[in-house]
Amino acid sequence: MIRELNVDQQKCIHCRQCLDFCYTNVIGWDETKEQPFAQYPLDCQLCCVCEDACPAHAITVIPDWSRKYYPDYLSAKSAAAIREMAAEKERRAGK
Amino acid sequence: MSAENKRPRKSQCSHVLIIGGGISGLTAALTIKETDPAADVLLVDKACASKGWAGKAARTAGLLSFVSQEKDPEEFARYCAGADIGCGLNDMALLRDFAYNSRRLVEHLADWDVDIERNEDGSMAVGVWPLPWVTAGVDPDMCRKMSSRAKKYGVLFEDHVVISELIVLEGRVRGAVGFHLLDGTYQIYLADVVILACGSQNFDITPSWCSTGVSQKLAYDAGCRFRNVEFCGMGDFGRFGQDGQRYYGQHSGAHTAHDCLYVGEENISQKWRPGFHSSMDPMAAYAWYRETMAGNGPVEVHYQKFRDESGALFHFHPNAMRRMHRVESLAEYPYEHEQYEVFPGFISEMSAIRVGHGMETDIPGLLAIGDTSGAGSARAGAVPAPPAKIHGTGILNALYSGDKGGSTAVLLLHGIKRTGEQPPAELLDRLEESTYHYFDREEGISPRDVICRVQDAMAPCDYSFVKTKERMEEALGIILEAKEMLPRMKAENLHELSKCLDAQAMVLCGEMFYRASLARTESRSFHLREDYPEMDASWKKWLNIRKNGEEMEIFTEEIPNI
Ligand SMILES: Cc1cc2nc3c(=O)[nH]c(=O)nc-3n(C[C@H](O)[C@H](O)[C@H](O)COP(=O)(O)OP(=O)(O)OC[C@H]3O[C@@H](n4cnc5c(N)ncnc54)[C@H](O)[C@@H]3O)c2cc1C
Ligand code: SF4
Ligand code: SF4
Repeated sequence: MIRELNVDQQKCIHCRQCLDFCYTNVIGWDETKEQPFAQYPLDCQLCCVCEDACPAHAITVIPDWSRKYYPDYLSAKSAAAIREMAAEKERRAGK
Repeated sequence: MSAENKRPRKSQCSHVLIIGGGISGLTAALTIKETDPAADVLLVDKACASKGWAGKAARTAGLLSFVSQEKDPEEFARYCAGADIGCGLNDMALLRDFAYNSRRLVEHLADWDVDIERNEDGSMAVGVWPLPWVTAGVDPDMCRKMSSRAKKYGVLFEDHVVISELIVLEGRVRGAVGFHLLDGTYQIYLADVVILACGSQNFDITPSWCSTGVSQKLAYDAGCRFRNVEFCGMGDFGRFGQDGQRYYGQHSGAHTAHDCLYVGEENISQKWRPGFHSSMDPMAAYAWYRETMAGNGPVEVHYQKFRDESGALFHFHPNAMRRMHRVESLAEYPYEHEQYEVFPGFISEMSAIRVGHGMETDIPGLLAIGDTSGAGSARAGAVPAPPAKIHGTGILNALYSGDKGGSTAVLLLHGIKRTGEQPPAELLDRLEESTYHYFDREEGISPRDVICRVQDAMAPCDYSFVKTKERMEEALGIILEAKEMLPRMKAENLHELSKCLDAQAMVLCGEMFYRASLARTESRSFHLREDYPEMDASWKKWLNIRKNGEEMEIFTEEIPNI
């Protein structure tokens, strides 16, 4: 759930250590640019270990919360009951 | 795959194979080498364990709870077995052993160069709870120190390898197979003892709680029993941001707010769940659920009240503080005087492989430690473990069970007659086929579709926290729908092949959770049923689950009277 892994080209020393920092296999290597990129951005947990551990402080994690799949926190029936209750309240208030 | 087009294979032998290199796997490796330096230990992880970046350790808050010299281990055991927590379903012998050994294990960390926050006089800086334990702040990068010590001891590492199947021959575990996540090589590991240390099942809903329960699938397929599955529904509160965006877990600013939820000016946590609670439980979700269903919402947290009223006592290590602050800033964490709406967030900690006092499973030669078996050991009773309602016992459990499992592995090694017999080639070919078949096929659905469907069945709080027969059957129906999707999965790449394995494990764990929860017709601690609201003395026994052919067999186990 990141938009990107921003890598500061001025700072990156191409040491490839960041390939090992990530525990969910998000980070891949861009052979042309010789720097890391977010290969599987959906699996980023925003733990910020890659930012923190990069020896050159070259990485910035750019989150994108909207990319994550959010399962509902109430069952469909309960959610419908609450919506109905709220609509009823509004109707009464309108009257 | 045709014979001439065979994918690369790599085969290795060791005395002990450890699957998973987080705190528990590394503790087991170090314990084995400290007890028997001649033992060959190979540690395999899908992340990079050789440099200490695998597992959850570096992502924790680094809280480490234990029974200090001033506290009483017996009181700790009584507290953990009491109402709202273990509720009589604890293995008391194991629990007391855990309590008595906790300080030794924490002190031993210094021998591995692991840093713990200290006072100026060199004593450990701890938060002292009005409860029978204290909480220290350990360096979340502890695995870096542990892995470097393990390498000095001669432990061998294989990084970026996903284990997909155990090799079981004539009822005994003989190793495991998997694939290299970066180059696709088929990896074969033969060993006399195999230790599962590959984490719990979190259903990958709340960020950072991203374990996918492959440990549970490996053990289930091998024929192991499971225990206390129905209590493994851990939860927390998430927060709605200004834009309606949902923030979960550490990022939420509601993560530990279970004692101070408000409707208007009324503290509803205290209304439904009076007193001071060391951690979240389903009653906290129940308070939210009842008020919301009565049309009284929104349920909110007032940041300042939360800070003032929360009784939590934490001491963080600077490395943990720095990371947490960064994580908070990324999630626009709320600041002073703000108030925000919250919702129940599902975490789960399914760690239900049934183990005995030496962390041995039912399968000879197979041990299970750390987050694979915290609940299944029954040490913690009717709670998900970790955290078993005590922050900082996840790390402690990983140390404790790693130490136990490491010692058992050494005992087993000395008692085993090695035959040198290789597993039959057909078996290894069959395991290769089952490891790669989602990858080798032409088309199919994405494993993420299956995972999302399982998440739909787990996350609703009125399915997994506040249970009824009717709602659980509905949730189980969704899981079975996801199960039907499994054979149609297709992995586009090796990362997705790993996701296919995750999807299978999630379906299995979801099914176990709801089948066990339906079977237990009472409420007890973390198992809260609206249709059976009382605790029933005749249910003071464990539920076990085991694979029986294609069926999931459920049966009870009496608790020994100690
Ligand atoms: C956000 C967060 C904060 C926490 N804070 C605390 C805290 O402050 N204090 C505390 O005590 N506990 C805390 N915990 C819990 C604690 O982190 C865990 O209980 C502990 O780290 C578990 O260690 P482990 O070795 O058993 O498992 P893990 O650390 O989960 O290690 C499992 C390893 O297995 C590997 N693996 C998984 N599947 C496979 C496979 N198929 N093949 C190969 N390798 C595989 C993984 O890559 C991983 O490295 C926290 C947890 C989270 C998520
Ligand atoms: S760790 Fe930092 S410096 Fe090294 S390659 Fe990665 S981004 Fe560049
Ligand atoms: S923030 Fe964490 S999960 Fe995300 S890419 Fe960096 S190390 Fe991986």
